[in-house]
Amino acid sequence: MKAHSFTVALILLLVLITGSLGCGGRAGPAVRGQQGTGVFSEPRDGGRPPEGMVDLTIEASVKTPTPEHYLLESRPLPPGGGFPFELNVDGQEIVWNVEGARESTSMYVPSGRLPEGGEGIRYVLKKTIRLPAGPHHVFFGVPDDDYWTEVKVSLEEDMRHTLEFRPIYAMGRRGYRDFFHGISRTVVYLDGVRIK
Amino acid sequence: MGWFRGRFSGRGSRLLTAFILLTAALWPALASGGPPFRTDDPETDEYKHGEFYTATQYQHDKGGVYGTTPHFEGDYGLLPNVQLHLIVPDAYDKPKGGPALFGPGDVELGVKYRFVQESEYVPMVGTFPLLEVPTASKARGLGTGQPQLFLPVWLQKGLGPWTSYGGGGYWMNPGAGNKDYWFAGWVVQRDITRWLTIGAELFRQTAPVAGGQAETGYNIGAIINFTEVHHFICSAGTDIHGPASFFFYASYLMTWGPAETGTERKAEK
Repeated sequence: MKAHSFTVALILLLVLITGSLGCGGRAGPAVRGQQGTGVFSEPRDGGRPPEGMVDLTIEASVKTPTPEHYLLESRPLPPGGGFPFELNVDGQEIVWNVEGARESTSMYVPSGRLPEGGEGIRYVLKKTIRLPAGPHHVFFGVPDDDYWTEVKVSLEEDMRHTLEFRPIYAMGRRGYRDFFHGISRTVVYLDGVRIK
Repeated sequence: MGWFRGRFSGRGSRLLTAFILLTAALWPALASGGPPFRTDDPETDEYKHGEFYTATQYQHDKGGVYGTTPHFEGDYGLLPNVQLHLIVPDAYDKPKGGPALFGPGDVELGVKYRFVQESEYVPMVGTFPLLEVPTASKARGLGTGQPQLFLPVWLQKGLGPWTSYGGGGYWMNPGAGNKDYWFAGWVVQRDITRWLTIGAELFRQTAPVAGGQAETGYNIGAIINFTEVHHFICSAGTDIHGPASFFFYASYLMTWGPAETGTERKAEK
């Protein structure tokens, strides 16, 4: 009985000590939280942008575990609800809270597991902003995953542009990636061409 | 053994000899298994992905204590569904009332091969033959003195945050007083958070020496992922039936691999 109690106590102690080290999040970019204005706006109609301006559509599709997947991990929802995506262009920031939908897909293909297979919640971001043509510094963040990335883009006038962030999920210790581990990084495409 | 004779005699010497033989016979059971458990699983490392463990094991029973200080384990995904395995231990023995002995232990080599992929209703299945190479000094009780071979079959099935795996196999355990023996075990583990998985194992091993005891025991373990690369793994347990051992395992695990896996490249196309 003594050995059993010692075993359980030892494991609990180790988990408490080491577990407290695993809670630190990654620091966001320095520009995060800046409240600059006048860089971009969200166009209310689909009309052509005025001269010197371009429309840029931001796209991302992220799958997260369901709230019941992890026993001791809760995600505080923002006041408006939804899943937050952050965008910061040249110092102006916006947070879009996107509603998700449950998605249950097969976890497996003949060659193994799929990174987005299984039961989770799918959040699809597709928002358009209007901003001046030319070079811009773009920060994109998924704060629930403590994830941020930045890219520099150059937007030509008289074109509709699309900036897509495709998530690459973190891997488990055996090297297999899946959305249960959260986002590790993103691959970024501008108008279908990989830029990061 | 001559080194001991000058220091121990009579009953003490016989006990010490028995302890060394038992330690040598049990050595593979200590070194093998899927960290942090004795039971292994059929999941291979992703192609070109590697794991490097710096670990220590400790076992305590009526005869004394023994373990590793530390041992190094490397695993590497050589091909899809094929993983190479190597353990290089620094072993120690501390018989009750005797001196502490340290030195190189038996090296363990293995190849894990998964021959059935997991699907919705079918578990993944694989084998993981292990060869214990007698690189340690048997006279000092740090190794087996004989090559030993383990031929197991392992199964694994995941269900949401739960993973269950186990199986068993046959240890070929040559040597004076040794017996071939069976090992079987099963593990159930659950993801608690993104960084913490806990699990429990129940195992059974038949007697590895003539006149020895079979062993039934359990371990409770945890896997903590600090990052994708850095992990801490630990377990502890004891016998329910057997030589009344206490086991402990702890390791720091570093993983590495290509920036993009095969699955990712396919997804991009």
